[in-house]
Amino acid sequence: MFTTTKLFLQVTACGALFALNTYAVGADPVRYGFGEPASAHDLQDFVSSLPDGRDLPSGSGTISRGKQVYDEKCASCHGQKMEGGVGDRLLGGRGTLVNDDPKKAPVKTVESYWPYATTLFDYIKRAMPFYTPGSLTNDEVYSVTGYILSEANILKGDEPITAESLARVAMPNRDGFILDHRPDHFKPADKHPRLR
Amino acid sequence: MNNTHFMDATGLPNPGHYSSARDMAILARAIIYSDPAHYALYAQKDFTWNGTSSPTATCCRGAMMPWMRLGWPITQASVRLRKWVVLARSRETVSHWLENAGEHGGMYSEGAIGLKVAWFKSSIKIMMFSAPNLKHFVSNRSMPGAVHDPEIAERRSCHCNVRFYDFSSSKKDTVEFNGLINKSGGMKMSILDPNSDAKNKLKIASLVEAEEAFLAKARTNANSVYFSQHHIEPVKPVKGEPARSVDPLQRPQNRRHFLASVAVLASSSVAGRAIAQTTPSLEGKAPPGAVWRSVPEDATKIPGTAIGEDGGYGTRSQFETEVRWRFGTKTPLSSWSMTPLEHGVGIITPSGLHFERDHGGIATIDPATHKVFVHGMVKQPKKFSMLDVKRFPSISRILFIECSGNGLTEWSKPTLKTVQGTHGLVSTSEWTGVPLSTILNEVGVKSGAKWLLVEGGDAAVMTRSIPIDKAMKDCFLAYGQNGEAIRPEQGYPLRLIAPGYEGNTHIKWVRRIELSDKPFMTREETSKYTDLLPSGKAVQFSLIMDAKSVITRPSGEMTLSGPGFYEITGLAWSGRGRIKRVDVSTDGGRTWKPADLQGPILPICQTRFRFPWVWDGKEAILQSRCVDETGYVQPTLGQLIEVRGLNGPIGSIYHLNAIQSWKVDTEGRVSNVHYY
Repeated sequence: MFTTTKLFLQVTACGALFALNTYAVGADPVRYGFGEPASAHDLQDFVSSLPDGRDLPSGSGTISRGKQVYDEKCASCHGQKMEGGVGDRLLGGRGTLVNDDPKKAPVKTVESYWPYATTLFDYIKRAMPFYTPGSLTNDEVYSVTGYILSEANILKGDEPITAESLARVAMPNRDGFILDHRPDHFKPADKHPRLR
Repeated sequence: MNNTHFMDATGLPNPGHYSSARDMAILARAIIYSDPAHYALYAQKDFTWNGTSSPTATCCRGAMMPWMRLGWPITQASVRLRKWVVLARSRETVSHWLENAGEHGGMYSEGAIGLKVAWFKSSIKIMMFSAPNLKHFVSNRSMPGAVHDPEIAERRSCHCNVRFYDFSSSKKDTVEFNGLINKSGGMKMSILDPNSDAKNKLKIASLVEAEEAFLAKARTNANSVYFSQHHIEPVKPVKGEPARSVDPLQRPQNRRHFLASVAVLASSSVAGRAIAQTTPSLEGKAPPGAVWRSVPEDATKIPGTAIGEDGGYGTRSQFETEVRWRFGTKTPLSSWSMTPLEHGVGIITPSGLHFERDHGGIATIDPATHKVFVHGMVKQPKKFSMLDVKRFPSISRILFIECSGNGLTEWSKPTLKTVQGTHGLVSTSEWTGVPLSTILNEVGVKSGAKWLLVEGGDAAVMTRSIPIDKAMKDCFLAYGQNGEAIRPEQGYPLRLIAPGYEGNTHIKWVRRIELSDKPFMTREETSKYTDLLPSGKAVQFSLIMDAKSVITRPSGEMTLSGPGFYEITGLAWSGRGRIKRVDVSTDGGRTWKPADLQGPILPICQTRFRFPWVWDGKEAILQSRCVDETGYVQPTLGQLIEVRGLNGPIGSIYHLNAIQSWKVDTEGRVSNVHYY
């Protein structure tokens, strides 16, 4: 009897431990000790950016260098004038987002739709050029980001393109996003259905 | 190599490219040694197409286009050469190339023009060239039948579809891509007129083509649910021999319809291109995932296959032909394929039929060297090997994953014909892995951390931001799927499972998790998976998949064989919890009756429903409507559009969860309709 109770207590304690481990934050949970500490060296090549410019790597670029990079490495898929092709169209489309015409598609581009310039850097850095992803240097990515933004009439001047300058860029559709308001509440339809 | 320089990775014309014959020979040697698997391809001395024989030169140059899957060691180097790209095994061949490097060499030969002309009309499926040659050709040659073709000359540019054939095997569709030749010359990928909304239309057109190509084959396959007697030539009994039943696997392929499907593929000039990933069930050739074995007259009179002949890993029956087929995006390296729901029984999707979506090809990752890094707002950044990951206590859950783009073609009008096309971006598996909460506790979450970035180790380095509350609640890093390791296309060796969230958040090939106080606003969560409303505002972080159901049998393109009993069956699922009820209507939503729900009814999992029905032979509209445990009622398309609007032909693209209508006509034919 005593043994059974002890076992029961052990199992309960164990269960509580796991429940804690699975769902609680901060309450000094169980640690298993698996894995190794990751050093700064381990993490140095990862890139992920926040809209305020944090986590963007060091480096800087220029619009003219960006044109060179674009023509060499981007134009084949995105078009000489950034009009799109195998790759997405990058320019134009301002004013097309407000639209309830089912026959006319909105034109969603970097210029018209993307809310943050930092996202452009981040995406090019991690996934472009499509057939040689990750092959551009940080300076090249800053440059080509700046060139695209300048062609989109978002960025002007000769200021170097850096983490700080990208965080300052006001994208045209910066305020174009709203949070998810679902779930919607639908009632069973009471209209007379028909073929459409 | 010290006398070679390439200006870009694409091989497009650039005056800065240069190389020497010596470097070419070095390159050729390196390629042969580093990529012997494709040596058979380079070793071809010539090839014949359409009665025209061309020297290896042409063939080889085509093989060096980066769009071929020959790997970067070849493409990065060889594709960039200005005028001549030489891949040869002998000095003679190199010499031959250089000697013929003039106006009449390679692609410039008159014999090759027919090839080009036909290609410019988008009417053939083969073209091999190097981009510099193409520019030269376009800018320096008259192009009878090309831009001088009255049909094409009207346009600023012409679309083309190019499919490379791999000469080292009989595989016919090694890779395909779409490009554009403009009148000023050069290869350009600019397909779209910037002033039109052609892009969306093209996408849908390509998907329609993919489905049509699939159907053209399925209709002639007696094992297919889309088999139609109309498409089968009657079998004439031979005198003195009893009439044999039609066995599609032993009967020669219905050539007429096969050709028709090819024609559909080849004749259109739109940019999107469809590849039905079906293999015709020719005699002696098993469908994907099966092994062909001869069929005895009577299996009781001869021993069957010995155990172990499959090498220890089983295959499906050679008579089962259902496959995923691919959305005709511009490149198969960023595309998706759909689950054939109409064939499904029960709730589990076979791992090999689970829908796929990736943005940079299917990564190949060795689990022995794979590491997952967890850092950012944590007390101790850590890296975990796959062995480390698997040591943690694991969980298994049967969950659906649905791409939020499932059904995007169906907003403004019924577009695709089959349930595979309209709903095939949802699948269900049992996933096994380690709760993220366990991993996060291991590194210690700093206070203030609100979001985490999960990053894939594929070529797209896919990233999404996940709210930390969700991560701690029920997300896990899965290494198992349906009792074995995750399939490569599902993220081997490790993927994120975010139960009930849109498929894109289920990052595959996970290599890194970073904690932060704010969402990272990645490309996918800003410019892509957001729902643009007619107001011009877009809903962001619409992560949960709302309740949805669909009748999978009978469904579009099937034919009921006559009045009588049918079991209506289908699937229902909700990202918010369990399915509470499913109602079925056979009169287009005027009256509803509850369907039987088959257990187990699990949260965030597909639930199978069944409904007995006696068809009276009259026209009917079949619908299913589900309610989940939160009380959410699946809307009609009309109700959904009232809320979401129609911003363009594909609406707001994502999160279409409306009631699906299948019309049954008096002939028993089932078709996709909008009825609300």
